[in-house]
Amino acid sequence: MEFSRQLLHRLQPTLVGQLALVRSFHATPVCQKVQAGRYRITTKRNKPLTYEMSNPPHQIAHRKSWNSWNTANILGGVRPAETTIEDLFIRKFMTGTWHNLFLSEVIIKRQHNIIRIAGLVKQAISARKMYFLIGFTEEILSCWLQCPVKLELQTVEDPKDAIFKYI
Amino acid sequence: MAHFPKYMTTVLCIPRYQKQLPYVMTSVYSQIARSEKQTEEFRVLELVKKSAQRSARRKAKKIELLPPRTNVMPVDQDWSSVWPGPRSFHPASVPLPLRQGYNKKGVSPGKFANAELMKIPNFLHLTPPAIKKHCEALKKFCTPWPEELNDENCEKHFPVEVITSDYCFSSPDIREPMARIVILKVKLSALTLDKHAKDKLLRLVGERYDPSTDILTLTTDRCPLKKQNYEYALYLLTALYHESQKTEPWESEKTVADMEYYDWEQNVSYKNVLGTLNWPQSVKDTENFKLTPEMEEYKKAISDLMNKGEDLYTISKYKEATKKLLNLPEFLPLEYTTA
Amino acid sequence: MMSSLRSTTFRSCAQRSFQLYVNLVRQSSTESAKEIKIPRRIKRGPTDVLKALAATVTRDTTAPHYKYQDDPFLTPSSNVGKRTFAMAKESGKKAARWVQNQHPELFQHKVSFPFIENYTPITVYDENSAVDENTLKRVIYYAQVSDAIKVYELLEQKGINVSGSTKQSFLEMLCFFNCEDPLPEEFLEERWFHLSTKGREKLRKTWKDNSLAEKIFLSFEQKDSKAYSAIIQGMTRYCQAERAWKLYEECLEKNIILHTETYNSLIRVVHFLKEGFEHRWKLVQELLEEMAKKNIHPNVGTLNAVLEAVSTLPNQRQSKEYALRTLSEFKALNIQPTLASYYFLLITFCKQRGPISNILVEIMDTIQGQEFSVQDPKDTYFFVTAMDVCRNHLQDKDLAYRVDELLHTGNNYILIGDSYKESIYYRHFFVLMCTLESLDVFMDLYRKIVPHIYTPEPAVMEEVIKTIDMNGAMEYVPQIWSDMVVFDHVERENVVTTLLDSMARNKLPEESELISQFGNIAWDIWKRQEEDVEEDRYRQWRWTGQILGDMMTLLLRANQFKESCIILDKLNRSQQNIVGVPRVEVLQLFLDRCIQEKDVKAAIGCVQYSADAGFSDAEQMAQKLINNISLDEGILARLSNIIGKNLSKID
Repeated sequence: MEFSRQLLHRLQPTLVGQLALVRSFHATPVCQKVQAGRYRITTKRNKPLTYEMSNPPHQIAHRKSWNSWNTANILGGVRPAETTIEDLFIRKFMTGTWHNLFLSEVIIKRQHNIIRIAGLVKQAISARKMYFLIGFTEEILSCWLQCPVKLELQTVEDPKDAIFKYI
Repeated sequence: MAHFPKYMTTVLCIPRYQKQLPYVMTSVYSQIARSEKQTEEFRVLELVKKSAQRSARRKAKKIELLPPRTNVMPVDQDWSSVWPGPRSFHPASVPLPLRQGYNKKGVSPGKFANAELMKIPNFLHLTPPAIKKHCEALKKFCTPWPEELNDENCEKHFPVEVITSDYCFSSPDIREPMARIVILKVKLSALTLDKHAKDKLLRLVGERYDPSTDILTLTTDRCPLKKQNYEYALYLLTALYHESQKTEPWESEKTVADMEYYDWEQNVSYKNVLGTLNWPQSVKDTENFKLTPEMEEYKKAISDLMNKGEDLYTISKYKEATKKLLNLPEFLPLEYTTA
Repeated sequence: MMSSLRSTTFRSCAQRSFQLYVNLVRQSSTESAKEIKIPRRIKRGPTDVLKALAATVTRDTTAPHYKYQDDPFLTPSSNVGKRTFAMAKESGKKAARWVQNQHPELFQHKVSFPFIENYTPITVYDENSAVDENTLKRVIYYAQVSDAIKVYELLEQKGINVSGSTKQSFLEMLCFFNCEDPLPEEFLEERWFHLSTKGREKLRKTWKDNSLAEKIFLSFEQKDSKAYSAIIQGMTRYCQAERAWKLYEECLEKNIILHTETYNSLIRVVHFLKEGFEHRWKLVQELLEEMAKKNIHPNVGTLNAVLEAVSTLPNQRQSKEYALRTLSEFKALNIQPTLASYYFLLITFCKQRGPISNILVEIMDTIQGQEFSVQDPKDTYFFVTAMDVCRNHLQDKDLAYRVDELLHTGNNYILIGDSYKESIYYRHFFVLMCTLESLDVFMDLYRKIVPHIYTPEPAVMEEVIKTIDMNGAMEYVPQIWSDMVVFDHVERENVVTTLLDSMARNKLPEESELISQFGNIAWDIWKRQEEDVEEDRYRQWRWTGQILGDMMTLLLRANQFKESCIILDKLNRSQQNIVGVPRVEVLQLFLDRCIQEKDVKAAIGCVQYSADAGFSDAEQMAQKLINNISLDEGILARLSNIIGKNLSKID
């Protein structure tokens, strides 16, 4: 404690003088790596990645777009925490109800009261069953979130169409 | 790479749906043949069904899909009826050859099975013709602006300006606490105030008055509802106005230190000047003393200096006036000036 | 604030504040200010802006109905598909509601403001719930019949008194619903497709005798006019006519004045009370005279009830006369007829086996361009009947256009009723246009309406094909075929027969690409029935000779020789299963081609078949074959065997 204070004291003039983007003092070894949202290259080079998966997180707003659109996180926005938790709930619910059917991430857009859920869906089940799921999802999410929920799906016949590259 | 998928169509070239895609046959027939062959020999007991047999059952019925409806959309259709409201992009409904995404080696991904196009907010429902239609439809709720009411007339007839904010956001709850704030602005020239009333009003109001624009701004947010705040702001203005018209008995106790402007005749400088000019006799009757022109000029100069603030003009005027008062020559000889 | 997208700056121009400040503002200018007229704010309701914007949007004919997802996979194409998808979605909704009501304790959070009642689980009333009269009132307001009954019983158990007016509204609710829960309003798909399952309603007595409604009625100490009205109307609504009549006579004795609606409902059930049309009409007149005596003003319901009674009279001249007289009498009373009245007029005047009446023209002249709202349950029958009259009775396409235009003015489309009526309406319209309108205009209409607004039934498809055939417009056939495939008509023998027949008979110019397309269609039909078939499903498809013959013709024209051989093979093999035989020209054409292609086996098969089928030309055909192709001894012998005569080459 005493040692760190003295060290900081001695380092302070240099730090201030540099005006550099330095990380603050670490007491443990630092891992300066990033590994979120990145996929390891396989030896066989046959792991399929969608466009979303193949762009790492720093490409958001450059080559990629957000999955969740709402006004919660702007300056003076309302309910940022609750909106995020609701989004997590919706994503988990969609993935669980539509078993292995989503080919892309679940896209959630909020406008006033209405929540619109979009995404790419495989044509693996018959259209009748899909309509049952649509009715069920819309109704139960509306009752849970107390907002009207609408689904806007795009069905894809061949899952390979959604694949961007193999890694 | 995602090209447009092999949508199922019927065998023929159908004039209605111009883009045609080949009919894809599955290998159902070979599997049927295989199963027929098996029946001739001894059937082998399979405890674990092979995947080939499983898929044979699944692919039995082909569904006839309609081709994307962009193929049948007439060129002169009414787009605002096709896309009337905000909606996620759908490639089979938008007849545009769009591409979205960056591909280092090759062309950007097409519009089918493209999640990026679905993510971005699109304004297909607000094309200029659509907006024109909306405006036409809403005109029946609007009344024309009275022509006589131009900017100066507005100031004259409607001197009070009320500013409120409404908020749009995405939430199940419509309440927003910032929406209760009401700002009321009025120019003091629109109110009839005499000197005392204006002085009192300005003292009551303090920082809310902007002397450069002569606007008094009252911001109310202490009530939970906008309506309540608006009524409170009006009440405040009324109360201020009437209070400033009244004269309380304790106001007569105003001292020189309370004065909001510099009145030379009440200040020390007056006595000093009189004392200096009439030295060695002291002046008793300061009230009815008749001022000489130099004294008038001096009074004006020093009042300006104190009231309007120091700048080159007022200081030089003060200098001139002081010299004239004390009968000092225009230019002092060099010995009397400081280095 | 960044989130404020709109901040209103308004000069206080509200009248109130202007008055407040006019005494503060002294007019500093001496010139007299011109009078500034500020127009009054146009009053608008909470949804008026939305309605105005919605009025700018018309129906997009390339898109399915908005209740379906707009994706090619999820767009319904056949009538069956439309029904199935809508009902599947609704069953999903019901499942979600069931899940919610099974675990109501999980859905108690309140996040929305203003609070949305609809998203909460249903409250169940049992012994422990605290109920009082207000609960009963609320439950009656929301028309929850079974809940209301439970609450009432709980109140009785607890001994809480129910006020007279609440009791009256409770009685009215029970009478209206016959003590049963109606279909919940949110599940509207069921209602939309309701009639297509139920068919025509059978009017029989469904009133529950000795039900809670009657008990409540008897529990009134003083039965006043409202109570009597309620119970009589309830009974008549559910066809318990005799007891309703008895109660009515009680009212007459006690000199209680009943409501207009009660009289209307009694007029409606007159046909249960008396046999024979004369008696019924006399009873109607009695009731009307009672009303006049007691100074009870008739209303639109009375008009419609009387017209309904009139329409059941058998004597046509009488019924027409009465109908017109009724109309004029009510017009004198300033009661405007509704669409239901016009419906009754139509069925009175335009009978199937009666003289042709142009009353529809007069009706259309009167109601052209008007917007209607629902005033009577039978209003929805008007458009269907009108189109039926246009098609069957009058065969007038201009009138049909006028009816269609009326349907599309303003909000009138909701008066089409339900899916069953809509499909019948469009069926009549379609077939009428098919027969009367020029083919190009008709095909325009076809492209617009089909498949999203209306999917044609197989019978209608046949009509369309026949029209195309008559006009010889073969270029539309591929489109029709693709539509048939999508609408699932390929199993229907009659439609396919008609189609193939028209294709075969109309000879096309040599260079037309349609020839190869027709060949493809024929082969597609073959493939669908022979190869893409599930073994265990019952198929109603039976091959006929005519179909196979037409298919062969088309394939031969399209130079698909091998395929036509396969068909001939089938003809030969399954002679017992196939009804009828193809035309002899087909076989001759085939033989010629065999000779061209020098395919002896196929030629022999052809000759074999023609012999088996008993064609007299078989011998000729054999002879032609021998003449044109050099055959060896074995085959010659076979041919002779088939024909039964000795044949040899004739030069």
